Amino acid sequence: MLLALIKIAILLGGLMTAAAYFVLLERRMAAWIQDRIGPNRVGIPLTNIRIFGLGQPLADGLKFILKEEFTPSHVDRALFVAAPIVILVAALSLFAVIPVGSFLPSKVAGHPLSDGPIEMTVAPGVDAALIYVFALSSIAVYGVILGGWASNNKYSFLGGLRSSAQLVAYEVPMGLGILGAVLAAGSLNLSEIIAAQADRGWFALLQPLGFVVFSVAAFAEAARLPFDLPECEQELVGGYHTEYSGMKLLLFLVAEFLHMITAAFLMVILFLGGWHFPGLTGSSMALDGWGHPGELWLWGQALVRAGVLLGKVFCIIVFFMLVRWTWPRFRYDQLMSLAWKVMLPLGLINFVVSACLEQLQGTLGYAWLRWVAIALAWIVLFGAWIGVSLLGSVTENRPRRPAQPLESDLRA
Amino acid sequence: MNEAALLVNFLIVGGLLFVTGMVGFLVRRNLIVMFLSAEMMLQGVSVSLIAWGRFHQDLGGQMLALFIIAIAAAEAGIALALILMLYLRSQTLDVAFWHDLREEGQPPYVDQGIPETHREEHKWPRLTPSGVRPEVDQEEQMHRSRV
Amino acid sequence: MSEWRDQLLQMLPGSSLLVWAVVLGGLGLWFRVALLDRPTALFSRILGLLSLVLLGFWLPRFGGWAEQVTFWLLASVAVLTAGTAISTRSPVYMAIWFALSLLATSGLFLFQNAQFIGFATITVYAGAIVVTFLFVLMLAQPEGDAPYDRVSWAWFSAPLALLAGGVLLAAMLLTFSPDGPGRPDASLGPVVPPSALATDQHHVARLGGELYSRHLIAVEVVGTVLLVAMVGAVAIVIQGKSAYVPGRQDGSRIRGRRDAPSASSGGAP
Repeated sequence: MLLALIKIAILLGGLMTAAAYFVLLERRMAAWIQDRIGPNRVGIPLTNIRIFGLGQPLADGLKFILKEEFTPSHVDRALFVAAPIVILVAALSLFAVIPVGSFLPSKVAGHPLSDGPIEMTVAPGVDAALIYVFALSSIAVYGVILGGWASNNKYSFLGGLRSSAQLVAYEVPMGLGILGAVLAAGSLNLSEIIAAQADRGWFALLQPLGFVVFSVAAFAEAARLPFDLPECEQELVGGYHTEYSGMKLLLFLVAEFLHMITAAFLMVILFLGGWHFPGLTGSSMALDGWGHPGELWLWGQALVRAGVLLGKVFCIIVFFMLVRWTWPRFRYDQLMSLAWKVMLPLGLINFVVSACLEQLQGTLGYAWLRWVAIALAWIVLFGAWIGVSLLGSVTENRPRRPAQPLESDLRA
Repeated sequence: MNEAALLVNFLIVGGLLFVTGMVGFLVRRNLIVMFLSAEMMLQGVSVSLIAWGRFHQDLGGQMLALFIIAIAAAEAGIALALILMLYLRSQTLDVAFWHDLREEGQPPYVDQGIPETHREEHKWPRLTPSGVRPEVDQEEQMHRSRV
Repeated sequence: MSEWRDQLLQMLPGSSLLVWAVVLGGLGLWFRVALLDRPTALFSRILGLLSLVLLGFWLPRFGGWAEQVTFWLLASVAVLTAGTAISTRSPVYMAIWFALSLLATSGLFLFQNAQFIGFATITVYAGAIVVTFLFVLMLAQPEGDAPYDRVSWAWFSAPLALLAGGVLLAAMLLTFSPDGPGRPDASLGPVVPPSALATDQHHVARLGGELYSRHLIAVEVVGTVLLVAMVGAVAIVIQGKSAYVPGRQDGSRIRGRRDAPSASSGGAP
């Protein structure tokens, strides 16, 4: 019980700090891409010491807390206040089943900490953990749609509807993309999926099409570019958070960043091997201290595993940010037809191919079949890529008018 | 845990949900509210099914609850399509509009005593005319609650 | 606490406690439902809470304090939000209260160790079905306040509905009352030792195995039903080209300056 509370405290503190510092990272990276310097002046507060702008998140947080929180008179008060709460609670609770490492040994300097090795998950052993992740992503849609409607404002309403339609549409390819990984791992528990990848190889290698489908869906679920049409400023002012200010707006923005962090965690855990790095960490789930039973080696392995997972998540988040500041965004109808007409069939194709390959490997059981399966999966990826670009179901989506002869007064 | 007592508790909760859904379906006139009450009935049944499944240590209860979820989703899709078409024709979500579908020999339903919409008058802010110093009550300004 | 319960049960014997609970709950709900426009909220909520408390006294105990309190919390949230859902005036609020009831029901499923069903209920029901209905509600009733939401059919509809519901509920409750036929014997021990149900490491795998072996045909049929529903929903809504009235904003027919109906006939000047 105490252990669970400590884990929750560490997780919450770490997440909030991470969300704040990732905002700084994003601004610095945006500045680097745009050939300027980002915020680098705010260092230790009340002094003149600048440490590369690392005090900026503190300043941002203080600004949001002290800003005037204005509730317009025409809003639906109860829902207006409830919407950011719902979305933040959903975004934070998602991290209850996500492992941030594998195990911690149960002894520190000879003192036993707990009965067995401590799993680095707040709620380990939930067998349907991935469905829990989907459930909370679905709850987050409520925050968006309620925020848009409660604001009682045309633009917020439209932005909320568009945003929630996008989120709901991309839940389907997200589910289909992970089906192949779950099939290969045999369980929905995230720690088990990492253990299966440590055993068989990363699923990004075995099922690249699933990885692509899931990444695209994860970008869309986090509402990051190239899928951020519902909330970009040029289109709908602020989208569903137009009428919000102060702390409530901070909750919305923090929830958005937490969704991005969640998407990165899921990509790493489901497809990029989690804490597994070939040769560096062990390849069995339990800690074995790289063969040495001493306590120092066990702790070393535990920390290396956690570091590998967090390092991979950091790289994926840097990738998210690079994508945001370099790519243009999709138009809304292109976005929706990408979900339904491209990602859904690709997800289905990936699932069918993965199921067939798994069954083949299972029944025949030759060792070289593994490489055949990987080769086939990559051929399917390239085939799907070529097929999608040839079919052009996303780009050819404009409403067409039939060719008509020009009317007379428009000639000459 | 006393499994039998657990079963009774869950069955009663499921029954309460079912009855609430049934009352909602019979009393409300909004098409969508009626449909969501029907979904509430299905949810009550699911609670009962899961409880029975646990009591008999059979996963069949959860199987049937899963099928209920899937069929409810299909039903929601079709119900939504139908409600949309009805709305496009009548511009209202009131089910009493379609009283032409009643049985033979039934008198048409006439609404009696519908309360009027007593929405309070919205006080739009008045802009002060420009170039004129606004009239402000000094006492009120001194003791205003928000700065 | 249990001596209070025993005293209460002595004062009001088992079945009349039930009757009081049902009657009070019914009254509370009637006030909310039949008089949607009147401010009787506090009174009816007190009645409803009282009836739930009485019901809680009557229900048999099944475990330690932690389990009891968890169950009561989840069950009362489920029932109270369901009651509020059907008696609230605005349909958007109804959908939201219903979603809360679904969350509580999902908690009840998790309490029974049905992890997959619990999370799948939230994902499908609360996350997809109710959201879709919220879309339609928000587009169809942007004010959220319509006259037909505030009144029921005729003066006798709400009492009749509550009577029907009350009879159904009373039949079920009386079956489980101490002198009823269906009350499980308190001396019946647990059917299965509790430790076997504690943490289920392979719950989803077992579920999948059972689904695809004993219920394979049902799964295939349900898949077909979903496909048919999808096609049917699209078929119902699509109105065909003849009913499509083009306007200026979709750009499919750009009218010229003269706005003549026969402007495209052969291009005669």
